[in-house]
Amino acid sequence: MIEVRDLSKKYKDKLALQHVDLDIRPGELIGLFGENGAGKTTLIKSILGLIRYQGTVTLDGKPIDRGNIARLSFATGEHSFFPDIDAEAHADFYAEHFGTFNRRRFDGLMDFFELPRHKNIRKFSTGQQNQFEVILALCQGADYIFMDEPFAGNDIFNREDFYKVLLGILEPNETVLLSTHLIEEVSDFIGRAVLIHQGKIVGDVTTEELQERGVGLVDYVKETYNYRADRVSKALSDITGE
Amino acid sequence: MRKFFERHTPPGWPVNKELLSGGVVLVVALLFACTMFGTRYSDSLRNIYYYNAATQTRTLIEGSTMTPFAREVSGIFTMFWMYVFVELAEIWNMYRSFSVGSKSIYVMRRLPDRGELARRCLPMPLIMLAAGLAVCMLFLLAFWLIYKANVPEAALPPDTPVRFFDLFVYNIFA
Repeated sequence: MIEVRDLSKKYKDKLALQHVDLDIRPGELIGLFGENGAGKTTLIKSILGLIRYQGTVTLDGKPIDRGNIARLSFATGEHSFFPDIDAEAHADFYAEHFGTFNRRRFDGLMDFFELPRHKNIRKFSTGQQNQFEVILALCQGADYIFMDEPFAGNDIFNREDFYKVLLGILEPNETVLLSTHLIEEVSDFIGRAVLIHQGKIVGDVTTEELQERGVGLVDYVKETYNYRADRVSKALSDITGE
Repeated sequence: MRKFFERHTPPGWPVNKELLSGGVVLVVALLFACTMFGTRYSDSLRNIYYYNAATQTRTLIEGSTMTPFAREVSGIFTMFWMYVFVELAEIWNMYRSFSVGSKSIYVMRRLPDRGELARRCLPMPLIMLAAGLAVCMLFLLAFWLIYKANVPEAALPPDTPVRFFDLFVYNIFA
């Protein structure tokens, strides 16, 4: 289990994360939601040790370091592949550095998405690059897979295919934390929703709990963020004078 | 060698281009060294002889002494600093390449092998530097052999041969 305790991060004068506590348990599919600048990316990067922070992050009770970092993988909308080599070279690189690299899954996903194997990733379309980024994260052989806005630029059909495949291939012990704006799209796919607002966790609920309460995920998010339904009509009224 | 460099540079790094650009800079530095040495050396050699145009002969001027080798080669490898700069800049370029076009630096920093990032940035420029230095030393040796071969024993300065270490530290690169 990943335990985040009292995690804070400050960028110059701005507090990006404030005393965040979060447990990420094995086998969970978690949606991480929040407005732009809420702290989603900062939280993920802190857990992965890509940025400095205050607080503690442990994996099964131990600090995350080179000894256990391979148990975490990361797909980011910024992309983290090597643009000037092809997919096969990536597979070789990952196999060399991550002993748990899942070649079979890699081949299967490459075939499913019909991605070219001998073309430099730089020459892929943005959608293909996103797919490849996620494929690498899923095939690294990590127990905890972090995805930060991985589908920006992919069409809806593409994304839906991906969710289906993802649900089909994940092992019971594999955990996915998916940061996205596409709340409705992932509502059937995730088992838990974590809401972050201005650097603080403001909501943490399982979809089972929501079902018991008879509340949809989107409504829960709106409720938690105090979404003002009349905001749009009021703005239009102010602008048009009608 | 190419395979070695491919495994010790950022994935997809243009190794051939790198070798070519480093080679060009080194050749320029060596051409500069050869030109400087050649000009100085031939001038100095001319000064220790008396030339008889009528008989087309030359005679060693009595008591004349050849310019010391250390002075002949002083500063001839100044342009080598350009090569050093280019290769050191390559280390930075290689590191920076992990953040250009994508953020593959995230992968490099997540690798269980802590040394991989350094292994992908340092070896090639350092090997190129060492090779460049070795070539300079070979040229220096060649200049020394040329100097010794053409200057009569009687005209050699008293401090000949100079210690190569002194040349390296005090003269040739500045």
